[in-house]
Amino acid sequence: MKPFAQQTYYELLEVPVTAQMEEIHAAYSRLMELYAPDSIAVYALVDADQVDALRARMTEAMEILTDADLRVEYDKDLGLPARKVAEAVTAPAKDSGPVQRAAEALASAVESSASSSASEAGKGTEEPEPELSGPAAFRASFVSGYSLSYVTSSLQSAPFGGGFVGMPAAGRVDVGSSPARGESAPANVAEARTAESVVAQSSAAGSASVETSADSSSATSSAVVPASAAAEASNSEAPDTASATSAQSVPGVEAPTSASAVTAQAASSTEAPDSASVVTAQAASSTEAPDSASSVAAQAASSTEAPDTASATSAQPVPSVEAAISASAVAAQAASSTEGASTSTAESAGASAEAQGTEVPASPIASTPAAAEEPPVDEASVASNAQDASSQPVAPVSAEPPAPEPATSIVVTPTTGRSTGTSRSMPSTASGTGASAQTRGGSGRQLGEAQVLSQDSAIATAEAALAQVSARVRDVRPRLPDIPADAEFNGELLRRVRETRGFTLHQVADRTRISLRHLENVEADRYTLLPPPVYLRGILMNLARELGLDPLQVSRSYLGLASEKSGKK
Amino acid sequence: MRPPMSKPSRAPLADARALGTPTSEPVQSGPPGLGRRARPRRIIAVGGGKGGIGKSMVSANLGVALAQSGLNVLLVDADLGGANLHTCLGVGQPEATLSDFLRRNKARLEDVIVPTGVPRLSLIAGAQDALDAANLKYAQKQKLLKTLLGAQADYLILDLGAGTSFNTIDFFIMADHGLLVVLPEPTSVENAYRFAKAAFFRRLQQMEAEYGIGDLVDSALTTREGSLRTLHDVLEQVRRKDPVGAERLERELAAFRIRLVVNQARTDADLNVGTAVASAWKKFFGIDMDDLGAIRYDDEAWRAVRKRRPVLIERPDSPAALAIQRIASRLLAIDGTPIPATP
Repeated sequence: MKPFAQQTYYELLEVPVTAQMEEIHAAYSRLMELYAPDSIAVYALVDADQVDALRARMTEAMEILTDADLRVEYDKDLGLPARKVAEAVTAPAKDSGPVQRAAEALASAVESSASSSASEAGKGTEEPEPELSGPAAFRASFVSGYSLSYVTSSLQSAPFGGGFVGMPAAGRVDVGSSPARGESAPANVAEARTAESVVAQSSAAGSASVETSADSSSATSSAVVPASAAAEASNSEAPDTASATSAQSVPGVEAPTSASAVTAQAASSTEAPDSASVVTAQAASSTEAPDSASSVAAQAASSTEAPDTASATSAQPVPSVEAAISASAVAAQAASSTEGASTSTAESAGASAEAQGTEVPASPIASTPAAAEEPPVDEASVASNAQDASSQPVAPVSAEPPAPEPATSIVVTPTTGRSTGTSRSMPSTASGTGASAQTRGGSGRQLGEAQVLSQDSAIATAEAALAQVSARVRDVRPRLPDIPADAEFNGELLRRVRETRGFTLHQVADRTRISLRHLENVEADRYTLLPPPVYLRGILMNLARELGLDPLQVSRSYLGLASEKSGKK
Repeated sequence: MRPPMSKPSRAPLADARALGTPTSEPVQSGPPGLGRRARPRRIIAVGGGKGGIGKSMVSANLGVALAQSGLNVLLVDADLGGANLHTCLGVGQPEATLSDFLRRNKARLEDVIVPTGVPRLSLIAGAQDALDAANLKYAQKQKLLKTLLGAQADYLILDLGAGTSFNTIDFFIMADHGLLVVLPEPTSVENAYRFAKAAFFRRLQQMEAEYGIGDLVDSALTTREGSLRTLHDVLEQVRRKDPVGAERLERELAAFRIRLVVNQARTDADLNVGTAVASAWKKFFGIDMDDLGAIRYDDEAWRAVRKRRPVLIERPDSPAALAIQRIASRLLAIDGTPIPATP
């Protein structure tokens, strides 16, 4: 009797742990039919988004269980005897866990000790179940294929999900440098346990990375530390690697708690300097923004990302942030993706002003298994927050958090104006490339999509923002007549302002719902015919607002005149 | 026949009773003369939330099927506002009804039992004319519940009305088998889910005193339907307070098993709706539901109703009749009762 969010993949798909590939596929398609949105069996049973969440999780389960590698990993996580499922899985790299990518990048950069690190990596990956030798060997043999790495996030989430949550974190990447990549990814994780690997990584990454990792590790206090550290390390690494290899950097930031959120922020800031590109400033500024704890995490993530994007030429930044506990973490992820998106879009949009808000194809997937229950809205809002914040530095005006729509994921329209899309919280949203990044927990970001990111994009973003701002400025409503600060707003002045605006009395009356008679009397300063001050004040405020004046100033001034005159009388 | 058979089958029933729903408590400590054997061995309640889905038809024919397999069956028309079970059985306007029993204190339950013309199958017809027949008062309901639990029969079948009023739900959850009739259409499925949720929460409510979860249940019940807190949540909260209690609560909830009957299945896909519903229910609420099987849409059944005869007697070889027989034998199998060769 446990909620589906806590069920193992086998339980989810209602197959025995020994199920063959075909069985799993059959079960999956049967269940997809059963839980289709128009299926009668789920009608009025639960909320639609709960069904969506279930479907997403089932897809996730199917993807994991039908991938030989991932399944082995998962089984080990579950404590099932390791068994080799059919080996070569030709599955394209779909959801690439952030860590993994980072790992990849790392690997390519380092290129060193492939085999040795590989073995270690194998161990590391399996944290929960110390089944070391088996996996390692397996993995080693498996080098040619795809590397699956359990992202640190999985580790983190594991405790919540009851230990079997592994999936979210797992992602596989097909990297050019096959031998190195697989290993490196796990290595990250492993590093938590084995200090050595960490060292290796850090050294590879360069001093910057070292800093970051140190930072993060110190900040995060929980048991998750290793994981988060790893993630961060990878983060820091990403820029470097990216620039070097044009690989894809995907920083994963893990924020176990609110404290961790701070960490993330710190990390990001740390990072910024590393990626010394133009964008750095932006990133930094965005980091500043966060106020609330949750939003902090999100923003941190986004800011983290920015640098990556900027620095990495043609690299796609896909940061995933995991907040083990708070859903906000998820949001953070979303946010980060959002941001990446914005960058890329900006580029494509060129100078067009509105580009900023647009969302990138990368789908944020968010919810960790534990957090799965969290309403998407939450995430979305956070995400939007983040977006808001991140965009602020660039162009305050344009930043507008789109209303969160439950299901949509990411729509990228380079040229479109403001992004309506908000990152969709739904775990199931497919990323732009069509690879479904179903993973909730964290993971999966789609790498391959925005090939085009380049340093230019950062500049483009800035330019776009500027253009937007200037457009706004240019576009401002007709200039007012010069009104001295201490001007008395009598009827005459109000009339002049109105005429300058090009409004007729009728238009104003229509829009403000103030009766024509009152308006005329106001402009004619016929104080005695005006309604009592209480009402007059409202009328004046409305009118002033309509005319683009300061309501308080206008009403105070006019009322003063009115009482004066009528008093005299 | 009765004593030997009732021995082995006693145990599960005792378990069910021991769950301690308040409704069953009084009976357990009932009149001294009333031994355990006086009670019906099994109570089947047929509900479904929506009207017009064949609850009465299923009840009547199930009664016939069980009677035909040699068991003494008492049908009770508990559809207080819309009694028509007698018509399904072709009994005509009964002389004595449930309202006689409820209203006039003179009557014992035995006095309102009427024969149906089917051997071993008897009927307590529903209240007929009383204006407020549907508005059973609490005391009346308690009396009825108690008395029904004391009725002598192998099977007591309660034909419930539509809706999820407590008057309906309380009869449903006191049963050993809660048969949920559902049509393969959204309206019916929707009501069936609501009915099932209501049943579980009502049961929770009845247990709340025992577990000190009253406020939890209340909040769960007052939540809007959309965000209706699931039993998982309730259990989770109870567990936080009282792990042992939660354990028991979970067991008891699991012991209350809803069994689905899909009626009027027109396509092959419809036949699987029961399975789908049961599996979706389990997926989201973690509670098992049994699928007893589907009854095909059958014109014979409709014709039988027109003739005011149970289809099982009118056309025993029709698809609907066969399906009902299958359901009956599944119920018997669940109860571990071998079908007696002879009455």
